[in-house]
Amino acid sequence: MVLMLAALAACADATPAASASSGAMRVVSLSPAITETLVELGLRDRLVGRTPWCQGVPGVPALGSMTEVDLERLTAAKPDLILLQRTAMGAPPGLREAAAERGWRVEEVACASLADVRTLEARVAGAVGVSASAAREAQWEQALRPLGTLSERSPTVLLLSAEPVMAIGNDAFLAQAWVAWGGVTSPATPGYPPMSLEDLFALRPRSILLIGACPSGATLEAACAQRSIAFECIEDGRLLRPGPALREGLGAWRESLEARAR
Amino acid sequence: MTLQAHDMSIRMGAFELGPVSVAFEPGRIHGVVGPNASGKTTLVRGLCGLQAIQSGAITLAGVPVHAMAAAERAARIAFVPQRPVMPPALRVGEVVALGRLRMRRDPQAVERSLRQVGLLEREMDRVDALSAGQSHRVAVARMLAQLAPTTQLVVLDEPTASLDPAWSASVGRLARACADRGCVVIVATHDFGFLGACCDQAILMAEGTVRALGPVATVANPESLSALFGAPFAWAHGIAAQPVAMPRW
Amino acid sequence: MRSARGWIALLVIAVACVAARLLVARSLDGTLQLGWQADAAAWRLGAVTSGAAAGAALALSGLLLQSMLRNPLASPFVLGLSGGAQAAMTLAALLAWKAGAQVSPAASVVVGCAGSMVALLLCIAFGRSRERGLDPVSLVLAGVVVAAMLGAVATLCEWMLPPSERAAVHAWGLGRVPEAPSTALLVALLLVLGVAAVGAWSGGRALDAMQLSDDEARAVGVPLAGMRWSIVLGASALAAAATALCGPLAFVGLVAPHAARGLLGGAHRQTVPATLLVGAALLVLADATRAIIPVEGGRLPVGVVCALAGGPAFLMLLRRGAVGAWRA
Repeated sequence: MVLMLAALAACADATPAASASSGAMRVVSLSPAITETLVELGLRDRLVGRTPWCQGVPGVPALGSMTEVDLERLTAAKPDLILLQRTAMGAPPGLREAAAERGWRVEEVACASLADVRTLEARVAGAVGVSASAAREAQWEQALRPLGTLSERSPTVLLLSAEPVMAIGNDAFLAQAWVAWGGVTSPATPGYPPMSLEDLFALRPRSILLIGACPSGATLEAACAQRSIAFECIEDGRLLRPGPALREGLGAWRESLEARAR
Repeated sequence: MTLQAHDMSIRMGAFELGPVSVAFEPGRIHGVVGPNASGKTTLVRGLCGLQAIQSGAITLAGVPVHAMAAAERAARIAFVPQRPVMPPALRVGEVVALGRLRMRRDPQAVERSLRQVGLLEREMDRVDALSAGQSHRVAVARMLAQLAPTTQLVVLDEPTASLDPAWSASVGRLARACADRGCVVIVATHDFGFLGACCDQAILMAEGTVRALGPVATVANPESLSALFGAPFAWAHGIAAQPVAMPRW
Repeated sequence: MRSARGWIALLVIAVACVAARLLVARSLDGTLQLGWQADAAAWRLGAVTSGAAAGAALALSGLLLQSMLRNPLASPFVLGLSGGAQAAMTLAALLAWKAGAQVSPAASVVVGCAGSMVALLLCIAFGRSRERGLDPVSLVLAGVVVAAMLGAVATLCEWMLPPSERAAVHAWGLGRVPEAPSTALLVALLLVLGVAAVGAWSGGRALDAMQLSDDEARAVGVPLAGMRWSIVLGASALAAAATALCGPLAFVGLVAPHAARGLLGGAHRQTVPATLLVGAALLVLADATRAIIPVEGGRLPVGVVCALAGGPAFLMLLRRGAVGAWRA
């Protein structure tokens, strides 16, 4: 028991918290994507709390996640604004009541669709009360220009995970990017539907793209080879989160597709 | 004040007891004997209302025992089981005091009962630390603590099975004291010394039926007991005031 | 004399546990912080109240079950009462969502109580044989199976819920001591706890007698059937109310009665209040531990702490012989 606790403690991040400059708005982000966006906007010093999964902001204490917050630690962080990723689950239990009582502002920020991600920066900037640069929009346009070569690979099943099989539904930003490039995705269902291998091949895809951990796709790759279905795996962390890095990830992916077409 | 069973029958799984019709007189000790699985325990449990009966009726001084409320039964009937359960972490004194659960608290009665079974100095010990014989004496003490002027029936199931001869004799004297208070006393036993020396009436059981009943001196003779158990019995002299039928080795 | 010493020890332990939750925390920079903090006071008091009430309820439920069933391993978690409450409440949430309604806190406690009772009655029905009555091992095995089946029901209902409802149900299922408890749930829990505690204490001597064999208990005047139904209802309501507030928590209900008996003996007039106090202290301590373990997860589920700390504590009790078996 003691050893386990010690091991857990050793994993913890014990560097001192960076304090927000006095007077400036103190922001807690309960979403890795929003944290990245805040950093991108140059608001790193306003950040006084994050989730355990937010990377690149050492020294900012983890206070909770989309489903659970530690109200005591949140209070200690003295937030002015709490930014939440909008999910169907709503705010973590107790957060809204505590916020109403203590005068914290809670903003839910949608990050699900491609349009959400494209406007994320502007909306986060708006919530904090700063202005976003317009240059990014041009980079998004660049990254999402149509490619003429995807039709022969479609319909394509985009997978988030191979074991178990979890597809990327048609309302998710990656599927929408694929469509923006001129491709067709399957299945035509929202969310991230789990499916069996039988379901997967019943969709009769021309290609299957796994965007996640490639070693886990070995079995699926062999099954695709038997059925003459193109299988590809892209292991790029930037593609998995709806933050600003997604733009670069999509740009890089598009370039590799373009290069292959040439 | 008599205990009467009319056509009492009991079914427990495949085992059937009865129908049995017996009357038990107050002031007497009734010994129930019989081979293993002959129904002694079932009979005595049925008589004090602890075992549901299939048909018939049992009345104690005219009141059906199965219709008595819990408190009324505790006031009228005291019972010592064959294998008393000793709950963990309860003390000897506490378990004995449970005999007076539905009565006025009476530390002196508890103390007196403990002294009668020789466990007064163990009053504060945990009952789960006692030996089998001591546990049995605790159960006897609880029965003694439960005795009240209202008590009409005292039932002891194998009271001497785990006791040494000295304590067996003591239990015999305690049973006699109960009978002298005017209670009906029923003892299921395999102890023929106890039967011969302490009991007034004998009830011979086999295969769920009563084979014979009457005064110990006439019913519990070597012939009938040999037939009942399928083992030789003989008169033994010097055990009690009168000869006692004992198993022969 | 011994009992006075036991009570003093118990009170010191309970005060220390509450003090630990109120005064010790991990600050945002990861260091341990000692002292009263006005800012956090409301949260800490809320957590102590929830934890103490739920811990006491689970402990009393465990004590009633152990005494009634004469089984040292009986507890609301082992016999599936917590799982039954969880399954029933999750099912209620699912049905309510389908009907476009909400389950009120009082309704969820009632539904949970029904689930707990079903679990307990199933355990008793399958844990007993005609010949030997309630067999301790069969009872616990029945509990394991019933708890597993009800766990599957809870998982199924949770899985059928839309994502909008699922996360809250899932987080609750892991066990947590809320620092901002729902007033209605807390009031329901305190009400159930109050009634059950007064009932158990005033029936303390009958509970003592219930630990004897059925025959002995009846012989000294325990109305067994009535007592049993009251305990089935009471233990279920306690487990359900605690589960509604904090989720299903293991071991508190198992360990607390043993610890209380070890300190103050087995007579229920002492054991009932002692068990309440030990249970309250244990869950508050588990929550205090959770609050100071620096895990990078925002919030460690208290159910994990209970299981990790309660398991060894039970094994230690077992080793020291405190888990007295009911001897025949």
